[in-house]
Amino acid sequence: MKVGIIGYALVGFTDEVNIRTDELVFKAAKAALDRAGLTREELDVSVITSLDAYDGITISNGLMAPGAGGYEKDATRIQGGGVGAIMSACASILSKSSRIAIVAGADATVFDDPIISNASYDAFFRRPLGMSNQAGYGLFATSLLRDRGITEKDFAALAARNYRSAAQNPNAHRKKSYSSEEILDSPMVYWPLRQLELGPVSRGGAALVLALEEKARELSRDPVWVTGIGGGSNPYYGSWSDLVDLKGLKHACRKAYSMADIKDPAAEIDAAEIHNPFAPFEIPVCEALGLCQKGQGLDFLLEDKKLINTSGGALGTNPPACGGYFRTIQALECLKKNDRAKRAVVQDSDINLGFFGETYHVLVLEKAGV
Amino acid sequence: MEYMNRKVAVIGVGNTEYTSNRRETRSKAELAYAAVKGALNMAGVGIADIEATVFTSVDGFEGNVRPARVLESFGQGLNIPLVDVNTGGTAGGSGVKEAIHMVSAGLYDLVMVYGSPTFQGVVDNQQVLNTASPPIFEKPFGLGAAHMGSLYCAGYMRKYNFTMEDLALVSAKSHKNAAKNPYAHLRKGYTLEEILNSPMVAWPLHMYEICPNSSGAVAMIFASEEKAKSLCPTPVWVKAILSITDTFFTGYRPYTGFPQLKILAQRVYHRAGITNPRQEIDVAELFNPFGPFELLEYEALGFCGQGEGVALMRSGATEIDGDIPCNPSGGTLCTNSGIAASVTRHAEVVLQLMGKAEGRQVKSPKTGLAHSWGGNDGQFHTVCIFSLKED
Repeated sequence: MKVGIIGYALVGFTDEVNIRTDELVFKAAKAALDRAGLTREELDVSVITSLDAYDGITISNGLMAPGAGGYEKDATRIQGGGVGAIMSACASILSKSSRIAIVAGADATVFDDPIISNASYDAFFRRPLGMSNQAGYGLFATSLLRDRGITEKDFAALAARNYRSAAQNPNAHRKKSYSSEEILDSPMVYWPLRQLELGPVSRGGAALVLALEEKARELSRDPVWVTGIGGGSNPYYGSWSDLVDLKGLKHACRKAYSMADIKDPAAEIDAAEIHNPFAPFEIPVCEALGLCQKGQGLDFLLEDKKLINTSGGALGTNPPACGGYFRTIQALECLKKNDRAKRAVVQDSDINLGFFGETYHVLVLEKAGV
Repeated sequence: MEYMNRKVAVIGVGNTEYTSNRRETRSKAELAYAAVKGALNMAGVGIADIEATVFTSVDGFEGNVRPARVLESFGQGLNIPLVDVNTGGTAGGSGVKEAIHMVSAGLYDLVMVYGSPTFQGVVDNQQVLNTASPPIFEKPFGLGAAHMGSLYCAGYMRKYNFTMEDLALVSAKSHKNAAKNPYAHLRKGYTLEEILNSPMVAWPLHMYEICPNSSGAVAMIFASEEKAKSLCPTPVWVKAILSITDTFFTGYRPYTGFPQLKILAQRVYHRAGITNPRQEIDVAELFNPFGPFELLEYEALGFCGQGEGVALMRSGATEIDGDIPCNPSGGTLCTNSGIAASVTRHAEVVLQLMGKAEGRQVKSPKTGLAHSWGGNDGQFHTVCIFSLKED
């Protein structure tokens, strides 16, 4: 018994949208249902991912749920990101509580990103220090410079690689193919990270329709299967090695790969969409996902050995809540466009709020016939 | 088992003591540790045995965005998944549903649910709650929690010609029960007269018909069949759980009952194989942050007919020694620690079925119902059926 993805839609992405959150989520959900050939009435459950602080109101799923087909339906809201919401929908389907689920969300509200990130830290120790997502990215990047011998030029080369892909992606937010030189010339934000080595805050909406295997086969000619899914977390007061070793991500990975029966990820996975809101984060994530050996992440990425972040990654498009949906949809598109790609992995996290206490999700997608 | 892939049971519940959020001296971290430790102890497992945790709260009241991230009692040291569920007042029911799905789906065998002390430390929760209303059309009216409660109670009263006394009586029942519950916050046992003489807050609701802001936390452990049988002598089995969603705009609602809850109850009863709820349900914990809500819930849940809620309550059937005891804990009316209160509805039913409801134990219940209500003016409901019977 497995879950198939039978429809999906993206609306956006851009700096600002001239549309309300509920209208945006409706637009995405309706388009995804149309693509799946379904009406709202045929849904069993509607799952939202969002965060009240990003939406500017409390219980913001109340605003979104009817737009996501939720009226008089079973519904929930997961705050840890889009792949977490997909995991919730899969659990509902695999538990036999539902057969057809929609996961949806929208990032429409303009908010003060550093303030909201800072408010996710504890009130006594780290918040007064001014900790924020970008401050944490800077610390992480510093450790890569110090401990791994990676250089600032390497960071820029990784960013440029993402922008080259984003420039060819009609759904990307930043569509300009910035060169390494332009990236190194962009303003320093948190040393050693420059503005173009940090992802934007992207506004737009997204939705996916998922169905139980037999239903998916009935409704779709080419469903993509969710064959593995897992979650993990890191402790807030954990050690620095907990953080840079990405233990939470590795935990999520073990579960997802075990479900998908993946024993050698480097050989068995063809494509990956990685949440890289700062350029060098792709390196340890690729290593944690087992796509390459530890210590070889930089070369692995720059030599384009696999289809990694063909969407342009989070440097190109970084919706704070819907990012997991965006990456999943980009991985689906990558599988559809590339004959040689049979199996993709999607990595998601809530590090848009910052490091320490962050959570991770990993999703394995497979084309029929793998 | 048509709607359950694998059987799921509750094997542990942990409660802290509850107090006023203004008098609280324990930190959120201490409350989390105490509740989690209690649940693990009852289940006879350690944190290393837990495979995933579901955290439930509403961020806006907490003073932290995603407060789960800064607390460390949920297994993050072992890197297990931390699922963060927030659906307003129903987050407890939604979190329980999430854990049940995770176990039933076969993803994990032992999952913990935590109900956060959402209101601990909140400065003005009415102002926060007001932001849950539609921003352009309804929020400017200044709608807060008490107004949400009063709209339903006033409409219900007018439709069926009930009196203030009719409404206050059901709150007196909750206060009487809470006085026997060591885990209740308000244990004064306010009488009908005291309730009617308490200050009017939002007509027709007096102060003692409206819940306090409490502080305290609760945790529950959900297990697969194999784990439940090996770890617990009295596992409490999940029979069915679902939620329902109403419109975001509230102006269309009749405000004389809970029609969405009625639809939901029919769906849940169908899944649980319940045909006569009045006879088959032995104990119920109903979400009643405003005392009279319990009357509207009796009707929507089919414990009596439309407009018969007051008669059912006056008959004594819903007392602890009645044939369908409702809110033997004193309900949310006497203890509202935010989302802990909606997890508690489930935890209380489980304790009742296990025979561990010290001081407020119902006689030999076999099947119980837990309900939660929340979102913008009650946009969501959840209903869960628990049973001692495995099949």
